[in-house]
Amino acid sequence: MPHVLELRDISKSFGPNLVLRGVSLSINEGEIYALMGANGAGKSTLIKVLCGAHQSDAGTILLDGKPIEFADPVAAARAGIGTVHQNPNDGVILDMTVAENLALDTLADSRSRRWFSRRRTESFAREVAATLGMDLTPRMLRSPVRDLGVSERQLLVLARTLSRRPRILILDEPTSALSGEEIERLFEIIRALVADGMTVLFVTHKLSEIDELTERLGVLRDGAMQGEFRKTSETHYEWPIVLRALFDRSPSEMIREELPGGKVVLAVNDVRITESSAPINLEIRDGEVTVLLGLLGSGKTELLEWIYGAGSAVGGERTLNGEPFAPAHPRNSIDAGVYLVPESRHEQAIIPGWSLSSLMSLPFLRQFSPALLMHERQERSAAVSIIDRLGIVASSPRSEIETLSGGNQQKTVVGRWLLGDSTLLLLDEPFRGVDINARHDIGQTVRALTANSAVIVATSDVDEAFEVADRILVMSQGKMTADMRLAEATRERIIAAMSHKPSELLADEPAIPEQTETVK
Amino acid sequence: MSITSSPSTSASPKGSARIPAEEGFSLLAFVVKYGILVIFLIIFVVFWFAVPGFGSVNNVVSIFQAQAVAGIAALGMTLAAVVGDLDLSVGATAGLSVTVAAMTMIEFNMTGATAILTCLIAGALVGLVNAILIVVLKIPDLLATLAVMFTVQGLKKWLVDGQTLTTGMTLPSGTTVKGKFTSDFTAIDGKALLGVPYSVFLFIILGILVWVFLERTRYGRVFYAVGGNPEAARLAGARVSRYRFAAYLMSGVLAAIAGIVLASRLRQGDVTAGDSSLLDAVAMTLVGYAVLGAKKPNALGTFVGAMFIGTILQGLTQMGLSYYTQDLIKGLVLLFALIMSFSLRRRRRRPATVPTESAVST
Repeated sequence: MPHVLELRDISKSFGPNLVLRGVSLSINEGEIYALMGANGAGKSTLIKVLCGAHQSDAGTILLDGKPIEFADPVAAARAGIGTVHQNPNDGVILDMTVAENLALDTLADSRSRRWFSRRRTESFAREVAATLGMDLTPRMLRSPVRDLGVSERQLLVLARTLSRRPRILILDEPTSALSGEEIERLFEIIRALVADGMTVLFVTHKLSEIDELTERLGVLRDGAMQGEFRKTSETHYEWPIVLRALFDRSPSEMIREELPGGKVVLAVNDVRITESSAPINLEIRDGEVTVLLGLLGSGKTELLEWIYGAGSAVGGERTLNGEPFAPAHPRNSIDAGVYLVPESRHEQAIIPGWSLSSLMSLPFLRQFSPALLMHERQERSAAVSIIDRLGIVASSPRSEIETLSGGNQQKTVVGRWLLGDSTLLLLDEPFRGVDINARHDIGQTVRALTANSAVIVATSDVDEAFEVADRILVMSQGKMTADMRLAEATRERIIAAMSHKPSELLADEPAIPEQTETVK
Repeated sequence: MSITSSPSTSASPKGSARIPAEEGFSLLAFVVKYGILVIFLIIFVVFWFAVPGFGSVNNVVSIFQAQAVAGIAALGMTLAAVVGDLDLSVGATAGLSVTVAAMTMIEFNMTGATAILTCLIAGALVGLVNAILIVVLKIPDLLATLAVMFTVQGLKKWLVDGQTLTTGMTLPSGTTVKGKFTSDFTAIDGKALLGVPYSVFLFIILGILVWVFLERTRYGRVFYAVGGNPEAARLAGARVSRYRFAAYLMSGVLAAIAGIVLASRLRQGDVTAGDSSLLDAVAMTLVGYAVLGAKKPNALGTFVGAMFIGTILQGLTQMGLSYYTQDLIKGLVLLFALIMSFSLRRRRRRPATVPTESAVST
């Protein structure tokens, strides 16, 4: 069988961090190859090497058996490698219209005509959209991408990539923002394209998708391939063995006691995420970890930020330990023991160039400066105690935060709240960009905190939910759609509750036959 | 941590490689950190040999005195730069002080203390306007302070009908002004203690105060947090708007103090006075980025920047360089410092997510 794409001993490091340590894998023409890896295993780096965004330090990429090097993403695209990245916002220009975004490749091409014509752009955009079976109204074509939901943006990026007719399509967690029905639609299209000879590298950590779509599965851990697997039955891989390779731990080791839950700490009454969404009522207890599950754009971040006093919502009341709680600023929340680990570590928690100890003490500066002057020794020893407690790998509390790995950075921004006396800890996607072991450490720390604090962990990942939750809440489109104990939670129930109506961008019927025409 | 007893800890040899070991001597790192200071020293020694008496106490004091006005304005600019961007109105505000001081004492025949007070109030008002434009009306700081700079420059000309206020002059209205700069006011830059003018003491004391504020108090810490990542600072409980407000107020007041020193030196209400100290202050603040490899606005750096520029200007002037080449020299020094702090740095490591967390508790 010919290998259309082959990687030999690819290595890549960033500073002291060796991220890929000799990855080899080969993909056959016309197959869908699944690549799994825990957060931080090196998946994203491998993809970036493949699509030309990063250059590997060592090793070769062979395309059709010939060694090839990509100087930049444009070179990779010319060679027939199309990539859809995880975050759809990386692939769209928010202030341009849908049509302009779809036609972006021709707009940016120096060979295309000099004068911009809306008519030509829109007809080209419609052609591009047809590759995904989307039927766009003129009004939709002219609306700015900023007004679209996350799943619709993802569809636009997909359509644009597919319209370039890549021979090899790399999909990096393409479904994380899509609903169940949209995922089905996407899979049908992928199958049709593969039947036509396209090759797909499908990166995900959703087991059911891998079962459904792929024939072969590679597992990446610690920057090296840990094994390749084939389906053992018609429909399934041997998951216990795969997970063992993935986590370096058998699934049984990850089983834990479900915590019973204690008294109500936070009560939320009648809050709406947007004017049009349904009111939310909630009671959060201490003595258990409550997971808030929802896709990107489901409103979970907005809910947490409103509770924290950092964002606004429509109406609603908060009660903390029986007292009315209405923080006007995060400062009020912190003083009341309500803490937030924000969703985006780099944009919302880390200050460039700062040391670990300064970042940790920032919310609690008064503790370290009874008068006006900072007691730096006290500050450092507090940081050291957190470093020890969470097992943060750093050469000193004065190390710059950006010299640490993602997992250690995340431990730092979670660990800083241990300096305070937590009543309610809100964690928004605390496991994003974090490797499995750091994830476990953070999970342990959070569970230990439940002894005297309520904890909400918001995530879009069902597996993460099962890993830390005692109680699972599901949100979709600003609405609470499920509330269950861990014992009664099943993957199917959760996924059904997370899904929303498919985007109106998609036509009623998938245009698969027509689609195969365009790809030839 | 239970997990570290799992087999994954076998990764510890790899993991330990991730901890940046204390690097050996690196020439580049040394240059980035101490380059400006070393060059400062070399330049000083060269002038000492080339110009007779360059290293004398009197000469050094005169360098301090020459830079005091722009230096104090630069300290204010540093505070504003820490929370956001350059405050381009500091030169105009210093100039406003000169006009206000002259009007208070010459036109209205009031005391020096009153003049100082009105100057400080005027500076605080300009700072307040900046703060409102930037914090409340959300205008980007560089643009807001640029507009305020023009407005204040225009305002001070309008206040005195475009004329230089001097004692005994006749106003367009026909009255002759009788007041003059009081002796206590002119003493600020005119009198000395132990051979050092009061203005030099003022500059040094303000430098130390701003340094302590920024480096040693919790407020300074929050200033840097607000400048480094306002969203992260807000989510960590910092009331970002209040801190930015305070920074522009302080910048306005410090610019006013710079203007008081200048007025005390000029002893008349020169309408264009102070304007040139803006670019000097910008240069000092930015040269400060390169001192000790800070790459951010800092009080010590600004102070050293003031002395660095002052030493070069004084040395070259004493070697016979014409006054009209001064701006050229300042520009070149600034360019050099910017290269030192922005281009010479080793490329910053990209933060990467790395799988070898397993070494965690070992």
